[in-house]
Amino acid sequence: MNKDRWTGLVFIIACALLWFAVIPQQTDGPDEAFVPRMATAGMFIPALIMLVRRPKNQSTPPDFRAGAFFHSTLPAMLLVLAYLLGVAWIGFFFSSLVFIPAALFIFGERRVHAFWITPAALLGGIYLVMVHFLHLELPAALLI
Amino acid sequence: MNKLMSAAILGACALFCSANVQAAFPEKPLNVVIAFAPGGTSDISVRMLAPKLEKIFGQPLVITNKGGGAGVPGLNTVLQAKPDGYTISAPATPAFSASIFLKGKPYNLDDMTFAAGYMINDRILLTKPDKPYKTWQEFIAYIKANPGKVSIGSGASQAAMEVLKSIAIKENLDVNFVMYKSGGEASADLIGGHIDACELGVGTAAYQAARKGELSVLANLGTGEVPDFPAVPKLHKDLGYEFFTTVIYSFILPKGTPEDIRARWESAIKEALDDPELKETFHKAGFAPAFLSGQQAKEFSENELKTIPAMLEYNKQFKK
Amino acid sequence: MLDSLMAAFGMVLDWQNFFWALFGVTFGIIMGAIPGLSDNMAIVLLLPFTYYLGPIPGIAMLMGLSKGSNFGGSIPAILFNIPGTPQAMITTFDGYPLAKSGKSGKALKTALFASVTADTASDLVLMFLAAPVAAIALRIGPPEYSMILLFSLVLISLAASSSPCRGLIATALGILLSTVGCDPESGTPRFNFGFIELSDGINIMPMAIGLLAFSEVLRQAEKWYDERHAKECSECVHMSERGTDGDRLTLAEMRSCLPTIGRSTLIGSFIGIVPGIGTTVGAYLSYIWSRKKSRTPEMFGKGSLEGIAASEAGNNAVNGPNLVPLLTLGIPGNLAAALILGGFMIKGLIPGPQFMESNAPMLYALFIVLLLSNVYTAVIGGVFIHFARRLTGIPKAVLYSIVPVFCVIGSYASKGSMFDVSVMFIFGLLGYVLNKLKISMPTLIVAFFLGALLEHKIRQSLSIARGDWMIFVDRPISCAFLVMTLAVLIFYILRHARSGQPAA
Repeated sequence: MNKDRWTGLVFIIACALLWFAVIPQQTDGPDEAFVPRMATAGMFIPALIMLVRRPKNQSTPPDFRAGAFFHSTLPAMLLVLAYLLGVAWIGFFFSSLVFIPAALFIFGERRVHAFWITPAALLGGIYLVMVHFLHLELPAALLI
Repeated sequence: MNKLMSAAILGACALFCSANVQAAFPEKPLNVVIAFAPGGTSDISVRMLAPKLEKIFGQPLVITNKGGGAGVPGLNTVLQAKPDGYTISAPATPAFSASIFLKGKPYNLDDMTFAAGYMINDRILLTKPDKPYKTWQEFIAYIKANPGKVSIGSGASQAAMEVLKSIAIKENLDVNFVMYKSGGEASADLIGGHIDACELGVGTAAYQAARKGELSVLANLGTGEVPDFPAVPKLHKDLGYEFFTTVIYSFILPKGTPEDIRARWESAIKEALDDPELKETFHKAGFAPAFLSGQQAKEFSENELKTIPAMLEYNKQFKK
Repeated sequence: MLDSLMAAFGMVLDWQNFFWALFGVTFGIIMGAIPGLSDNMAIVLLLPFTYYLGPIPGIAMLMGLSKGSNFGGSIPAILFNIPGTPQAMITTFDGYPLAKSGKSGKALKTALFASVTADTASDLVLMFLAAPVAAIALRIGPPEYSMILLFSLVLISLAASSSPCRGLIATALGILLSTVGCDPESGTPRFNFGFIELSDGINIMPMAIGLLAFSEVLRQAEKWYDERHAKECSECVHMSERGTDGDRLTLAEMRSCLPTIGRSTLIGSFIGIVPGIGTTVGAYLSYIWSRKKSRTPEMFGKGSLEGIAASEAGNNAVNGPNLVPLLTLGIPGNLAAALILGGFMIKGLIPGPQFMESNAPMLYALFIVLLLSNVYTAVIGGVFIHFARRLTGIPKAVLYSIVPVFCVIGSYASKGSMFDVSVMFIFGLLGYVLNKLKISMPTLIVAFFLGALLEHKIRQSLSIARGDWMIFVDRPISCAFLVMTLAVLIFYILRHARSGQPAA
């Protein structure tokens, strides 16, 4: 299927969800719901055109490659998610100390010195400027 | 250098003293959480107060802004903090009414410790001097003579808007209400003549214009004294309307804070407010400093929490 | 006037002013250049420091910060396709393609040249045209405001993206996201899904950081995989393929950018008069108009110097007029101005009509410091460009590992809330999906903040007029913009009909 059609389909489903489920549940009355409904309609019409019209260029498939997604994007997403949970439950500096080397590894860094110079320089700099100099409070929970 | 030395000496002192006697509060920097974004009345008033408090406590105040959600999330973080007096929230009080308007869980005022109130933030109804009405009574008469033609703005106070609505019901007025997102935006539209009258807090741009005589004041929506306009009638006290809105800005500590520490905060705030230099700074900005003891501040807020639901109930009669 | 000016010079000639303005500009460039840390945040962080300074050095530092970070944001936008500040996102359109072809130096110098020129011009507007600008600003009430917003929105959604359908979807989605929070009129919660943190709406900073910076990290993760597997990949152009003599910006090129800068300064200054619309819209509209006027419109989006100049000039020109309502009426035009207002008030200075009269020398001193800051931006910016170009030498692995850390700091710090960090994460994922569907993120972000204003202003107008839509036609300024909006719409439909393509 062509990328235009994919785009149209995704947004039509999103619009249907919004119109029938989310908007009635999350708004108080017709006045409050007016602009959201207009915006949903504004999304639906171009999406429908994209779904039904004959695409100009038949050869562009959606830019989704399972290999790339499962081997690098998904791990990156999960790693950042784990990092955020770590920031919330453990603390910013400790989590970053773990996260940066892990991310370096995912991005294909293999030189050993990069694994200790990067976190040390970055976190040292952040501590000096943000915490020491600007008194900015960074998330801290169990540890720092 | 001097500062560093004294800090070092203080630090060393604290280290030794804490071993045998309980050192006097405070022995380390104090965290003040402002539940609003920087640059507003809340933020500026606390930051004006801060240097005086630092001098009185002999410890630095670390001020952080935790804005958004009409002050509710900011207050909540402080209420969950350790009740040792080192984390305090200011100006805190607006979060009480906000939680009602946002249909959140209303606050139980016993779940917190009131240190003291430091400022009364009243709201006033302003208009341009070239309008045919000069007083509140003339204004009401004018609205009645021109039904549906008069627009009244609100500089982003839901409570003030409800007060005005309750008056529209009582006086049977046909008037248009326009809600604004900030006092600045509302001031610009009032000065530009796009709306006929507007309620705004003290210290806003329109308030400064009123001081200069470019705008005139019709009424005070609250109960406090507005410093530059003592003769302005108060809706509740002078004009006999049932509802009013006054926000007192106060410092609030987490529940369970020891009484001697709370009292220390209270006396420090009182001492800071007695400073003539601070009074002058507040006055220049158009703020009305007023000391309220922790007990007074609590009673005041309790009263407010009771009247808002009653007002909302009464305003259900309002039709557009 | 002359007396005040002389007195002003006396006030300016103090090492403190020079030092703190310099400090502000330098710190601003650094903060702007770090994705996730914006100019507003730089001001928030340094605001407390100004309390210890005198009024002029304090304000000079804040002004320097906003000027510095405005330019700083374009550095990562050009080098890495990650705008350092939201207003630099239009600069990525042409800056990044140029950097990919090894001409990062040229792109950065164009950005600096356009920034400083437009900024100086807009400061002159502030100095000499403050009174007329304030008079125009007061004429813009809710109906006029609504139509200006509508005009900008329609122009951006139709003209900005190559596919009008996608432009419309991005716009509608942006408007929809802007309705999260509270109803602007009744104040009742809407789309807040039970989160009180959402009652002010989605915070723009974490949203922009997620959509622009974090989603780029995810995209790069994928690209790295492609490169490793040596698959065919149209976007895999390496930084190493640099041209030999692409980094110099010749005088002829500078001159060729001047008309663009002039036009963009005009647009930016006008946008600056209307409070709250903001720098990003100024940049976007300038970009669209410059593409229309350019002799080489086909180069836009592929590395046109004019494109960079338009974006940078358009966003910097907003700043001067934006300060007009602050200085003349005491009404802040944007968040940075609101913060600077706080800085004034703490010093016991109350901006507004009285301020102009009673503190004239100080006002002139501030103007001189503003111009001085522009000189600083030019000089310090030049030095930074010299070093920043070497940043392309940072291994990509290192760069994309530390960007998420800054995303966390940037989204956390503006309000100190972990909730905003999760907002950033969710928008990062959304940005990744939208990128795949080729939905333009800048259009979405612009529609997001214009949409909220538009709903607000339209409903205010209708409140004033008791629901009578004729208010938009009755008032001349708003009617003019309504006609222009319709003209743009008709023009687009006709053009597509003539070229034989479907009008959508």
